[in-house]
Amino acid sequence: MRKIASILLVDDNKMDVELALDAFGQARLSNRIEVARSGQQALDYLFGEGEFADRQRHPMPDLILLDLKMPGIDGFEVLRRIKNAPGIKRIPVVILTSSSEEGDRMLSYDDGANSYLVKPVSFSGFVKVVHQVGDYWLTLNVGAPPVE
Amino acid sequence: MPTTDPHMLERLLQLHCALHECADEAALCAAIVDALSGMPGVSACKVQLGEAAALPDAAAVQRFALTSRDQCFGEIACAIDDRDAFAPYAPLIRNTARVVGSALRSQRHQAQLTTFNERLEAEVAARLAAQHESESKYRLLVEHQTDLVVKVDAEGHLEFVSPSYCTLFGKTEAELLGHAFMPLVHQDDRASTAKAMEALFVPPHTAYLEQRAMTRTGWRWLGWMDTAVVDAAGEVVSIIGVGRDITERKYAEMALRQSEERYRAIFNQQFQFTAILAPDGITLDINDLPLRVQGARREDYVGKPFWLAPAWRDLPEWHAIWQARLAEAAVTDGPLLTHDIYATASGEIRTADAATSAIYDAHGALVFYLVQASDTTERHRAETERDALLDELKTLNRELEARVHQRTAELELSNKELESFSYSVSHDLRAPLRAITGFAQILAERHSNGLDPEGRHYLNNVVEAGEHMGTLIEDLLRYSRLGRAALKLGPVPLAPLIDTLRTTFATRLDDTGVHLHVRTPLATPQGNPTLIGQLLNNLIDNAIVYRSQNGTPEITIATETDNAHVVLSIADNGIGIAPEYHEKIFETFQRLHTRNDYPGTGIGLAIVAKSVHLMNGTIRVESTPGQGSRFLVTLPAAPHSIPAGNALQHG
Repeated sequence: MRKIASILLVDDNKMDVELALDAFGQARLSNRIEVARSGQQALDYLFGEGEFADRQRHPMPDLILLDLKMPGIDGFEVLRRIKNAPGIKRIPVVILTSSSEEGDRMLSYDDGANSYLVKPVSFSGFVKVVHQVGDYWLTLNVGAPPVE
Repeated sequence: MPTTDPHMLERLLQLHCALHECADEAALCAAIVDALSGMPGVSACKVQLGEAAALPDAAAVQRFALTSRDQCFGEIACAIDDRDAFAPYAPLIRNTARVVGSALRSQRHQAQLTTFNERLEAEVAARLAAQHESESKYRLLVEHQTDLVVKVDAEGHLEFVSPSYCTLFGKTEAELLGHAFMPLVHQDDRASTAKAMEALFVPPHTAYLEQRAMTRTGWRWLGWMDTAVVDAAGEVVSIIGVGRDITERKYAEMALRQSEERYRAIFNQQFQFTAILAPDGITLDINDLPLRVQGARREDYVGKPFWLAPAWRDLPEWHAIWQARLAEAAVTDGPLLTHDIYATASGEIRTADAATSAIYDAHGALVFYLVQASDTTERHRAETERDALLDELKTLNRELEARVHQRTAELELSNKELESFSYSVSHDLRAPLRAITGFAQILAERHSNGLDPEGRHYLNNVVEAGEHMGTLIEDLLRYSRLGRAALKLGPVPLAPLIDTLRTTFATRLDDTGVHLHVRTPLATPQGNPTLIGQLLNNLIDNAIVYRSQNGTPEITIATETDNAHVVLSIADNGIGIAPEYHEKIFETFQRLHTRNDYPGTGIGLAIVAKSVHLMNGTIRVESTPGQGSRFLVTLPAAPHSIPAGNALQHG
C-alpha cells in the first residue's frame, strides 16, 4: 500500500506558487503539496522546527521543488543544508527556477541537486513541465529507502 | 933679411888652402892655430872670433886683429917666448890676419846672400804657383759655372758677360757688350730692379734682387747678388752681378705659398677647434674657430703652454690633465680620444670631444702635437633633453598603460555589471511576465465565457504581447550570455548543422514555400558549433521573415575557401536592405520594419555579428532592395580541412 506522495514547493513568489499549484491541478497530480515561502521556512519545515514539528500535519516530502533566487536564505543554501543533513539528504531535490545560467546550473549540481528545470515563460509550457516532473519523480523514479 | 923658416912657407900655404877650403869658421880657426903653432918664438896660439882671446900664462902676448875694412871679426893671440925670433914673422901674420878677416867678411856676406836668395826664390815660386792656381780657378769659375756673371758700368751698360749669360739670352758677347741690360728685364720688375740698384751706391754696396728677364726660352725668373766696385774716391765705377735662374724655385715657392694658403684656409675654416703644439706643449698655432666662437685671441694661445690657455685658466685641475694627456698621446698609436670640459671667454663651462695626436717625422722624432676638438654642449643638451623627453614619454606611456589597464578593468567590470544587470533584469522580468501570460492564459481558457468578444480580443492582445516579451527576454539573455563563457573553437563540419536546421525549419519552410538550397561541397571553418548553428538559424530565420511576396522565395547556403579562410554565404531573393543600413543592422535593437510587417526583436543579427566576432571572423551584407540579400560570414579555415562533400564526390 503506497502512501500518497507529498511535494514540498519552495518559492517566495506568490504568483509563481499560485501558477504552480494551478499547473499541478491541471496536471491532475493529486499529490499533497506543501509550500514554503522562504528558504528559512523550507529549513524549518524539513528540520521540524516550530509549527512544523508535527509530522502528521507536515509530513516529510518525497520530492522538493526548490527555487534558487530568494531573499535571505537562498535556494543554494537550502540545498546545501539538505544535502548535508543525514536524515533528509536522499530526498530528491529538483531545482525549478527562471535562471538558465550556466553558473547556477553548475553550482546546483555540485551541491547535490538531482535535477534542474527552467520555468517556461508561457503558462502552457509551465503546466507541461509540472506534469512531466510529477510523472517522472513521483511515478517512475525509485527513491532511496526511508530513514527510520 | 932674416932667414926664413922652411916650415913657415909650408904653414902659410896650409893656411891659404884653409882660407879657401874651410867650410865653416870653426875649421878655419883650427887651421890658423895649426899653421901658427910652432912658429919661431911662439909658445901658444889661439884664434878667438867675436871677443879677445885670453892667454894669461905667457910673458908676452902679440895680438893680431882679424879685420876687413872697418869691421873686426876677432883676433889671433900668440904667446911669445922669444921676441927676436918672432919679430921677422910679425908683419906676415898681421897680413894673414887681414886676409883671414877679409875672408871671414866675404864668407859671412856670402852666407847672408845665399839665405836671402833662397827665401826670395821660394817666395817667387810660391807666388807664381798661387797666381797660377787662382787664374785657373777663376777661369774655371767664369767659363764653366752655370751662374751668370756680368759687369755693368754705373749707367747699367754691360761691360762683361759670362758665357752662361750669353747662352741664357741666346746672344753673343758682341751683341750684349755696351748695351743696357734693363730692356731685357720684365716691365713689371724694372722699378724694383732700379730701386735695388740704387742701394749699390751706398755702403755696403751690395744688393739682392729678383726679376723676370726675356731669355732665349721666354720669361725666366733671375736672382741677382750685386756688388758695386768702388774706386779710391768712393765713386762707383762698375757693378758686378752674379745671377742665377730661380724660375723653378720661384714657381715652387709660389706653389708652396698657394698650398700653404690653401691649407691655412682649411686650417682656419675647420669646423673644429684645431691647435698645433710643440713637443714641449707650447702652442704654435690655433685655427680661427676659437677666435670666432669663444672670443679668444690668438696671442692668448700662441707661445704659451697649451694647458694655460684661457679655456682652462679657471680650471686648474685641467692643467695637469693636459700635461698628462700629451705624455700619453706621445706613446699612443693614433689619436687619443677624450671627453673634456672648457670655459669660454664669458666663463661658461662647455663640453667637447677632443682628439690628441702626436705627429712624428720619418726618423721617429716628435714634430708636433695636433689637438682637435668639437663642442658637444648642444649635442649633450639635446641628448639630455631627448633623454628627459624619452623618460617623460616612458612615464606617460606607463601612466597611459596603467590607465588603459584600469579603464579596461573598469570596462570589464562595468561590462560584467552590465551583463549581470541585463541578466538579472531579464531574469527578474520573467517572473512577472510569466504571471501575466499565465493568468491571461488561464483567463482565456477557463473564463472566456464571461467576456464579450472585445474583452476576449484584448485578453488575446495581452497574451500575444506577453509572448513577444518572452521572446525578447530570451534573445537578450542569449545575447548577453555570448562571450561570458570561455569559447571552445575547433573545426565545424557544416553539413550536419544544416541538416539539423533543415529539420528545425521544415514546417516553416513548407508553410512559407521557401526553397532552401545547399551548394556542396562545403568547406570546414574553425569555430564553435553552437555559435555557428545559432547564426545559421538566425540568418535562415531572417531570410524566411524577409522573403519576397513575388515569385518563389529561395535561400542558398554555400561556402568558398582560400585555405586560410572560409566564406559562408547565406543568400536570399527577399526584400533586400537599403545600403545605408548595411552596417546598422548588426547593432542591437535595430529594426528596419515595424513588428506589424515583420516579426522580430532586433537582436537576431546582433547575436550573429557578436558570434562571428567571437570566432575571430567578420560579417558583411551585400544587398539591393527588392532583389535580395547575401550575408557573407568569413571565418578562419579549419587547419588541414578537406571539404567533406568534395572528398565524397571524388571518393
